[in-house]
Amino acid sequence: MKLIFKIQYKQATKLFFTLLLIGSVFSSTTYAQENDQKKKVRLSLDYNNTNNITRQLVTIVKTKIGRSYRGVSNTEVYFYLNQKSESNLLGVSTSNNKGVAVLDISKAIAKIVDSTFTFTFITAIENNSDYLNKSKKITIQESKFELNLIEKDSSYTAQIMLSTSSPTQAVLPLEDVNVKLYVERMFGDLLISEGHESTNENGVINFDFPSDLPGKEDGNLTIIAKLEDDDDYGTLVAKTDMAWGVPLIINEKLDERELWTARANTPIYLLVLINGMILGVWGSIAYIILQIFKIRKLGKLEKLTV
Amino acid sequence: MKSQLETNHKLANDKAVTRAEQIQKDLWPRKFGLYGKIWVGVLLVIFITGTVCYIDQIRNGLHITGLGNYATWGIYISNFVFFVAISLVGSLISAILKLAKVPWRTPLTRISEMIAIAAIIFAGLVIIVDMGRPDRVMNIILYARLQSPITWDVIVISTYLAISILFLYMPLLPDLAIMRDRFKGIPAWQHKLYKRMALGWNNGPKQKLILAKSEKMLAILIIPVAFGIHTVTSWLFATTVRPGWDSSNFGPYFVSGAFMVGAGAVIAAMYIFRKFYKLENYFTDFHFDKMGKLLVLLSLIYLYFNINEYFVPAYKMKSIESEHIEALFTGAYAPMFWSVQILGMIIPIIVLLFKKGRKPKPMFIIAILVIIGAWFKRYLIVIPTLAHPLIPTDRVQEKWLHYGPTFAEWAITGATLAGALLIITALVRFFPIIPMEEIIEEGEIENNSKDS
Repeated sequence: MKLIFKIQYKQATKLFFTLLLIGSVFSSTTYAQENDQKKKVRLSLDYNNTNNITRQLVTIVKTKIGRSYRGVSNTEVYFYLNQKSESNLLGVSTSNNKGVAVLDISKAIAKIVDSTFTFTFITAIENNSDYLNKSKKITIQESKFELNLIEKDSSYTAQIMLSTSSPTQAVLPLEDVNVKLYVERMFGDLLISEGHESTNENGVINFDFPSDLPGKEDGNLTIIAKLEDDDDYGTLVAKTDMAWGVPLIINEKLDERELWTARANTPIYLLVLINGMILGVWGSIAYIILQIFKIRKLGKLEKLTV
Repeated sequence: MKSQLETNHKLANDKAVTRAEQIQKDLWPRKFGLYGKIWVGVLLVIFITGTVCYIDQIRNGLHITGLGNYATWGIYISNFVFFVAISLVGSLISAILKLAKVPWRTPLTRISEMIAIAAIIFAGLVIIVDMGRPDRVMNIILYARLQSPITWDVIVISTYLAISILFLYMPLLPDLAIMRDRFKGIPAWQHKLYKRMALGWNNGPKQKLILAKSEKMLAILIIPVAFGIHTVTSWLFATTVRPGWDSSNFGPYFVSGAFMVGAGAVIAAMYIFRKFYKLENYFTDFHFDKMGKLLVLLSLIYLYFNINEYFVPAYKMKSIESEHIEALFTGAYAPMFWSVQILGMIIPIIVLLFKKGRKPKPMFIIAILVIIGAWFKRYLIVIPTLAHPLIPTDRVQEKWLHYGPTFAEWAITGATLAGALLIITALVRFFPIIPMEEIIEEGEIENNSKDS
């Protein structure tokens, strides 16, 4: 009896540990599987300052699909100031179909008074059902980026000034920073500067502006100064409209009735000719269809007579 | 003496009745036999395969084709031009020969109209197949620019379809009435169909007069529209400045080629129906001989326009044209170009000039050569020009330089050809291939003139 009990005890112990082992393996596998099902993402973070008024944080969320990385849409992206905590949360934005999530932080920045005016921004994907947690951090020195347009003796100069920006400390010019000058065109920005020029010791750079660029009807051009994707200052943009372009003269031929114009300006002779032909031919077709009805009517009448 | 005359008259009448009955018996639409069923089955398989590929094209876009930034028009558009060309046969046989009072045209009219309708329906459908966004097809009409030849083409194709349908339907009325009254042993729905379509036709003099007038009107109307349909199609190309298309010869060049392939299609159809429907008494050697002579005439006219089309630019060899001409004459397209010109035009002309060549069998082989040649001729009109753009793209992708249709394109094109043949097959299944009433009446006139 004792022996039987001993054997049964041993078997039960074995069974218990076996089950425990299987259980732990199974649970760890499930945990691993859950994590495996979540995909990894890549994050980028940019700080954009336009005209020293609008400040935005821009994140692009990408994941690997096949061999290439593609934007992840409709995903919540968290933005923090200095560190990831609830009190430091600047806001949440959802990525668009290209995976771009944008958060306007103009108001948040305006409220902060700091001697250095240096910010650490963090972007993060957190507790997402499809993607693993991921974060990215950048540190930005807030700066002032100005574009002054100077007209003297019918020559044009675009002056760009770059300096530190702090509500409490003295403003310092930023030297040897590469800036570019563009003009807005229909399908993109046209580079006016050489592309490699940098600010001098006063944080200033002057560009001669061409006088023969085609502008809008009133000669207006949108002139854009850019400091692009800088590790210390982010992306700074200053843009102004100025009537430095050659006024656009709209070709009035387009409003005339010509073969190459839009459908509203079809030449009269063509309208008359084509519509006349359509009416003539389709009128004859309608007449013949009418004859079919006549034949039918005659058939019915003669049947009644019979 | 009087009784002798009455007896003769009665005998003549009995003879006419027997002849009419024989004609009706010969020409009733028939159920398909084994070959007919195999024919329909094969066409359906081709059609379904192409339809599946087209669904794939709708789902995944035109990238499943070989089309690219250079060859934006591939075999879809060359097939479209082929269909438009072949559809012109309706106007040739039904209208031109009718107005010219050519007596032997009667048995050929119905089949030529059937071919015309099937071809023009699929010409319209092929254009939709070529569209990347077929859901926007209505925009062609809603936002039509009357300055554009594409708009003219849409207008003229729909007009030609409408006239062709009328031209098939109206002369069918007396036959429909015969089938309504005398065609026994058919399902009730088929009888109902004939009854409805016959519109109470009773061969009354007023009805006959209206029909004759309408047919004459249609015959006059269809000729300018037929010339218009293929001239406008040629203008889709000729109104550009591209080498190979920039030609004032293109309108008559297209129209003459269309009449040629149309005549070829009718000859092929005549042979097939003569063989499988045993219509030797209707599609006689005499008809083949006449159609052979007509085809020679049309081929010679087409040859003349071909010489104009290729000789003049080849003599001048303007730099922009030379690349195109060389590609056709001695380059990548040379084997196809010379095969088409020799097998599809020169040999038919030579063979058909001889009486022996105008017998049914050689005529059938020649007709098939003409049709195949005509299809590839349209390929040669569309593709080589696209491969040599006026403003070549900088650092162009290699694959854009060489267009080759994919399986999907072949399958879809095959489906359109099979679809057109299915329409003809369906029409032949339910309606007489040869106008019965006209043949009977012509026989009566002939007999009466003999009696008198």
